Amino acid sequence: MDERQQCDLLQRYEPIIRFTHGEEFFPMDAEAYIRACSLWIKRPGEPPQELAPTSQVTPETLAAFVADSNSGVHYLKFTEPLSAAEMAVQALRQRREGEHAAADFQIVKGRLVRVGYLSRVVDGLFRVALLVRGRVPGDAAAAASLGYHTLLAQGHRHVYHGRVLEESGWTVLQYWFFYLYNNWRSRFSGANDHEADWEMISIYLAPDSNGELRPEWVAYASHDYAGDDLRRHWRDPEVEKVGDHPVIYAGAGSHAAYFRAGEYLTNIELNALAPITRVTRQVQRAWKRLMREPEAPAEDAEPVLAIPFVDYARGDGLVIGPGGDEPWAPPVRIDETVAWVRGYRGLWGLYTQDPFAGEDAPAGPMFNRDGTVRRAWYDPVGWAGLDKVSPAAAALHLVRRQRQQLVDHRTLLRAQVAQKTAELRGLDVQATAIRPQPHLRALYAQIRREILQRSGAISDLQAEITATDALLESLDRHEAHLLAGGSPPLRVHIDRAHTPAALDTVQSRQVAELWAAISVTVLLVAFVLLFAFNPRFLPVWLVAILALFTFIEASVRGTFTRVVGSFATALAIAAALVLLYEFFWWVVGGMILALAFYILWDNLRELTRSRRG
Amino acid sequence: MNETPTPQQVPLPGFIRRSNHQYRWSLWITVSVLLLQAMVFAGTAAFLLATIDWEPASVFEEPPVAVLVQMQQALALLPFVALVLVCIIVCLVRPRAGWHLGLLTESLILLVALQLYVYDRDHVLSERSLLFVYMLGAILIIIFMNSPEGRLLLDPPPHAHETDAHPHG
Repeated sequence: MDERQQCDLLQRYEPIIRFTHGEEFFPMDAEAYIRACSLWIKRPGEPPQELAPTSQVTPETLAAFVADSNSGVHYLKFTEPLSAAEMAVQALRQRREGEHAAADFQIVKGRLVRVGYLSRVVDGLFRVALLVRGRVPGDAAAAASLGYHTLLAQGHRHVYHGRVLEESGWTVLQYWFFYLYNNWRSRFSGANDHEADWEMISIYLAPDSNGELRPEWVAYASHDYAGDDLRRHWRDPEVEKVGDHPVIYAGAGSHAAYFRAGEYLTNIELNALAPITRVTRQVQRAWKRLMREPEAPAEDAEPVLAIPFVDYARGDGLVIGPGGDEPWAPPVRIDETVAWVRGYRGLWGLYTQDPFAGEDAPAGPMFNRDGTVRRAWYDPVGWAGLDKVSPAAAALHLVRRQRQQLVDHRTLLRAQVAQKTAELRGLDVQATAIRPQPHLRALYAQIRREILQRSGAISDLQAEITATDALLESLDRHEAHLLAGGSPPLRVHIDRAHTPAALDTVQSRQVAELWAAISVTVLLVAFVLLFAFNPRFLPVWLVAILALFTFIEASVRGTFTRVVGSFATALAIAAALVLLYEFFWWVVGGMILALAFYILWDNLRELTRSRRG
Repeated sequence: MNETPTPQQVPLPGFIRRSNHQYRWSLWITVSVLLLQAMVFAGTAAFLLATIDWEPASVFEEPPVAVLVQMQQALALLPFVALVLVCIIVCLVRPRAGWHLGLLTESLILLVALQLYVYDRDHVLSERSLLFVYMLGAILIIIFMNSPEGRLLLDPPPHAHETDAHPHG
């Protein structure tokens, strides 16, 4: 496929992106960004050093600068600290635009309502930690916005970077979107801010029965989702399309891609707290079993120590793409031959040295932050879990080939059964012949052991034949389904679908939100007061306060019945242990007596019935 | 298409009526055990008050410690008697609310009992043997109220027409 054909294919299926009202940054040409950046290096134990000023950095020279100095972290720097005057201008501009935006964009305050106390505490600590850990400076978003508007004024248009490759029978169209800045945290109360942002979607095409390429699957990169959960069938109703163009709902500020409009709750779990989360989940599962409560599926499990963030993908803002508010510029084709794609492994924006890496800029489309090649780049088929899936046109052939293999295998198994059965019968004849002779007792025992062993082997073979028969029946039905033109199951591969959050499960939403906002502070203040006044029965007061808060929390979250039952059961267990400790031998004796009388009663009842009979 | 109804779809004969006995049994068992618990508390309090030896108290200007302890033990039970009686009334009027209040009351009884078990080493507020009886009673009530039968009170009470009409008809 030549470049012209690749561009035609990219344009034929190019996506439509629906942004949220209030979004400030849109996909742009990465090369224009490079030209506006300076290149820096941060070596361990040394202050950052500028390798090349803005005037010298170009897409062609970028890789060369890096090749000269390999140690340390390379990064591009777009924003410079704003002067007081620039800050004032930007603030005025934002206020002018903000008055208009605020009328339509309203942040949902329900994120803390959806998680428990521990998560709220972790959320508070996470926000406090921003004061001490590496983060993008406060004026960076304003500076990036100013710089972005300057670039737009120079005539830059909305651009995507397209890559076409063939892998395992699939033709993959990758659409890479470069955003100058991710302002999810500073503008939309999200998890992080960082300079530069790369997002991507892939469309998977395969030749149909006429040999013409048709789209079969599409995958949107979205936060921590991976594999099968990323992709949807082209005919899946969840994939909104305008003609042949799939629609993306971009998260406000984060630019993550979603199939449906909505507000997505993203729970970020800190790796350091993972062991606590695991133990807590196991305790919760055991407790649910004790209380005979149904276990929720993994995707509905309430986060234990996760920090909740809302990603607003409302789709009520600018629409870029065919039929939208603004069109795409012709695609910029990228692959390994492009110098800045292959040669620059560094970060595309400020390196903040954030230990969680959330505030560090990402690397380019080909690389992870640590310089390794992204799986989405070197194995886009496996990245979306498509490596095990055959294109639709090849499915029938694959089914038939699989069926023939199974038939051959079954024939082989039957032959083995026949042979082993004949051998087994021979052994049984031998055993029958020598059984009455005492001097052959040892040989008889050996033959008996062999008979048992071979009989077991034949039973295993028969079981395998039965399983193969069942598999063949299923394959026959699947083949008939395909021959009748039936579609493959569209969503069975999805284990954890990201669905928009609904707030209607929370009772008295405003009260719940207010409670979620103040509860942690009130609880901590109550503890401090308790320790300050130090009452006589301190542990009991601690339990009482915790119980009170738990009941209030349960009331606003609609779990009062469950919590009351659990609380009472926990106290009953504690009291039962006390009684067991005090009256251990009495309890043992009582249980033995109860067992004895039950056996007596049961036996007498049986005896009475048998006499009547 | 097979039009023959499944056994579950066949209407019941007129003389068979759906019963709400199970719900009523659960309600009355709950009320009964709570009543029994209130009677135990009240009876114990009355016994303690009745068996106080008032003579030394009238002889001395200040009542002796033994009299005070016995009075404290008796009076400490009275709030629980009142609370359990409230639970019984709520159970009869609003069974669902009664179930919640009942469990909260039993939790409170256990919480106080455990606290006394740990701290009241001098048996000022409670007699140890009686305390264990209270704990055992509360444990048994919690077990019943958390059982499938006890949890029936969380469901809306069956209406009269459901009990008498043909449910499958």
